[in-house]
Amino acid sequence: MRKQSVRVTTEPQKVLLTGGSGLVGSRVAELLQKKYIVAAPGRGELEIIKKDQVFEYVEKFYPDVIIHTAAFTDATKAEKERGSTDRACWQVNVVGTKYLNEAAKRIGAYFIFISTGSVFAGTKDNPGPFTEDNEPPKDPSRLSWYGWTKNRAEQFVDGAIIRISHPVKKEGPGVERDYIYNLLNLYQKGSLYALFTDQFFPITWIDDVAKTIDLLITKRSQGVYHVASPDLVSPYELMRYITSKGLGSRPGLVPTALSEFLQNAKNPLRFTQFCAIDSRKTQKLLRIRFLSWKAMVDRTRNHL
Amino acid sequence: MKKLISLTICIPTFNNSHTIVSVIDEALDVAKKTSSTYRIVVLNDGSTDKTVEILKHYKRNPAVTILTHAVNQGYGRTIGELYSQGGTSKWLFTLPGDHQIHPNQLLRLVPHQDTADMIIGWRVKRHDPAIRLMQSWIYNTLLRLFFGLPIHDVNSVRLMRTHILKEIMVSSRSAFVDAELCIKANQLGHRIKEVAIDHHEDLQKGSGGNWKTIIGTLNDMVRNVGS
Repeated sequence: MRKQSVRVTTEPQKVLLTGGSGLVGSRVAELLQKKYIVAAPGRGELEIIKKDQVFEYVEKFYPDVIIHTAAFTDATKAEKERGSTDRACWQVNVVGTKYLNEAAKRIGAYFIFISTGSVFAGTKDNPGPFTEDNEPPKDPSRLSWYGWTKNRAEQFVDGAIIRISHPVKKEGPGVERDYIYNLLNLYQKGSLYALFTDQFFPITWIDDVAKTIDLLITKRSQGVYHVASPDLVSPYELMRYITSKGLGSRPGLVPTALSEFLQNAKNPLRFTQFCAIDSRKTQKLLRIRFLSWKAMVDRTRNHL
Repeated sequence: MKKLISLTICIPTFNNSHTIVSVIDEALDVAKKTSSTYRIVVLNDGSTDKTVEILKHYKRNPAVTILTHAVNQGYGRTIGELYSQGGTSKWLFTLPGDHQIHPNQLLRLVPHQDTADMIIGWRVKRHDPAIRLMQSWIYNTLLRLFFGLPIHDVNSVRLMRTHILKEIMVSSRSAFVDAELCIKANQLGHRIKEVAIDHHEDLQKGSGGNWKTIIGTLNDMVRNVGS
């Protein structure tokens, strides 16, 4: 037999991504499209809380990977649904995730669920940050309703869970809901009132989420991963840094203590003081470095 | 999904009494979904467990043919023999009897029927012991070096046109038979494609790791480099 190169075409893998019009999903879909065949159906094409629709769509497209980024993320609205499992927040976050996980299992697809640091609620004595190995609480008493629904959704996942915290990106759909953009927007309208000084969390660069997903698809790893800046920041410190980057000074960055604010808040559970996540293990395992929060602010200058 | 015209699913089995029923039943199920006409051929390679008795249950099923080796012959001879069992089917699909690859993974290969003649399932993440993964990596690397065969996972499931098998005489009697088939099919201008598939935990130990298999494969490999 003469040595001659054999021509073999390697077919790109197929990825089904939910939440393709959302803040996180739209950017992840855009980046993964370079390497995978990505389907990102809108809510009109695939409603994840309808089991039949989920199974029909999944069996027709037959993806190798399902990335579930769709979620009910409005924590204030979610609080009004507290305790109710037949309303939107629970249905989308818990029931939808359960259906997608089942469908993935049926066809042997790899399932990746995007979750949040809000599944944790620390205390003054145990303030975190929480690692991939820390167990989230098993009762909702100290969690926001949003956090509790994501916490319960995680129980249904056979695959990978990626927790993120305050996702931000450079531009694109949903960017107006990103944390930096939102702070700036309120600031420019002059309606930014309280900036907490005693609430610390990391923020997540969405491109880092896409990179992590790409690595996980290659490894097909199960388990929990955290994608977030290695350093923590308070809203007050973050806003001070943003304004130092070229915005004219405006009176009234008012430092406030969350602990005091909560004493008079109508829905104190909506604000979680201790839910920071620690991403060191994920960075080590996947040999990847996540951006620091300052680097993210520097890259989002066009918000300014 | 466009169905195949006709399909034969070939299942080699050696001491898979715990899994063989679900493999055959699920194979029947997926064959129905993917092909207008279909049959299943099971070759029992001299199993010493309850496989023989279990396979008797399929005697009355006209879609299932059971063949038997009285004495164990090994993976290479068994799969080689199955490659000639396509009959009048246009397509042939091979499937292990140990359920490591779920029969429904055929659904990932069928959509490529118009753009390829041989579609190989690439186990993207193999749930095998480290030693097996290492052997497999060395083997697939050697194949790339000596034969220019750029396939990630050559001894995996494959869906191929039966006429390829009629054009090619495979001489290997070891696990090298799969590689030989790819190399010769390519020489004849057939289009080869690899597609990602899902792989389960190894429920039972396969024969890939033992010395007899390795030496036989290396032997066939050297013979083919020489010729």
